[in-house]
Amino acid sequence: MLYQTEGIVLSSSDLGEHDRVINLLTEQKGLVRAVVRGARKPRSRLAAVTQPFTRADFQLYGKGSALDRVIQVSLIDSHPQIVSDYAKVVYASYLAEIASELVPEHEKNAAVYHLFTDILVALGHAKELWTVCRWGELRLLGSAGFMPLLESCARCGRDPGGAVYFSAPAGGVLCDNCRVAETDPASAMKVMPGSVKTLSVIAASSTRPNVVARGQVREEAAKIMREYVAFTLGKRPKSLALVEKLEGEGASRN
Amino acid sequence: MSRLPESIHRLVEELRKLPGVGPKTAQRLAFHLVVSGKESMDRLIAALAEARDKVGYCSVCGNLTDQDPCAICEDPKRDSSVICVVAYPKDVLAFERAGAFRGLYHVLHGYIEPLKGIGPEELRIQELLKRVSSGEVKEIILATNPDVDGETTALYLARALKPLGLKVTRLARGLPFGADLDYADEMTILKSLEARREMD
Repeated sequence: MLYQTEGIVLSSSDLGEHDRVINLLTEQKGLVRAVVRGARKPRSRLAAVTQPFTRADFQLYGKGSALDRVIQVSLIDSHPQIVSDYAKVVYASYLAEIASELVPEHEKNAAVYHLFTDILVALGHAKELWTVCRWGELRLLGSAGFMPLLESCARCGRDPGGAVYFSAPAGGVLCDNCRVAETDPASAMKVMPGSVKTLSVIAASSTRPNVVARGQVREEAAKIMREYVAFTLGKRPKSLALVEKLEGEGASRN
Repeated sequence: MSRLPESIHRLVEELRKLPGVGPKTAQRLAFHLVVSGKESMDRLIAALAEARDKVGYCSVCGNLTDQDPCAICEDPKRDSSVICVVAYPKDVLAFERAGAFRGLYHVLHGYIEPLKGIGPEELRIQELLKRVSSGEVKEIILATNPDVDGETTALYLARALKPLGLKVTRLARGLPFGADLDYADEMTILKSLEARREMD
């Protein structure tokens, strides 16, 4: 069946001598894996549009098997601001990895597609990449129903008060009473109210948030999200090590 | 496959591990080798054994070589003030085929690929930084592929090398020789315009 959809290349890998397989986040069919015949030949018209973070109109052919086939592509945005900046590529790769884990194959999810489009545009224009990364993490997780509860206790629903804990298995913050009642109280980490508040403000923003976090709040909020992302996906994203390195370098400058 | 003699089955399994070789191709190659005769097979075995015993990486540039340092690094006619940084040994071969470059090389053995968890530490970047610290090197040519992984690696290297006061250049990008403008994609046209130059 021939079909047309807008899509963003999340990742690509080589196949055989001349072909390439791309992981596409599409508007019409969720996640699609497709082969691009001849994409690695020097004169291929499809070589440039199979690069990660490229947004384009794709015409694909699929028979319901594992791999669809790319027939034609018309470029919409190659995100040059991202691919010309090392830190932006690292963050975009990390967020693409999260998106590819959360979106099922061949199930329409236009909301996530448009969200990821917004995330890439925000990343392309942002100076404060840390904030866009946290926003991307929270909104992507939220779109799949995993938005962490940050303003009230994830167990009892009450205001956690002064002593705030974050528990990934509980899905958000815990008050001291509920933390003690957890089967593994030690797994909840004590956090500063400012870190949770920062994440809460970022999560509530439907567009690129104008938030700048510094010092310990910045480090702790990132740590909370790293733990929560790894727990929700059931694994540590491969690109996370590079994100941590970048944020470590950033922290030493702040 | 199970009806194959055990020795051929083992040969097929080993050939299947080679890049780009599927089960059918592996079987075809195995049959070809077996029927090609003892002499032909002995030559192949000897060539494999020789490659295994003699070929290694050059301790200076990281290229594949059967002598250390490699013939390029040892060549006094090469310009040691220019180093061309490439991802794989096959890229050195591409430059040498063109015959236009007379400097030295540095092979990274890969690209920075965040999605595969491959960071700068996995590549031969520290060796490059050590190499340029001698003061003899004046220019570094970043000759990584013009794609996202190649560009990311080049951006990282430029960031690490520029503070050392070196001239850091990148290969030009644009239309390949013999291309048809009508069929060029938007990105290639854009890069060609950016890298345009005045005619001599």
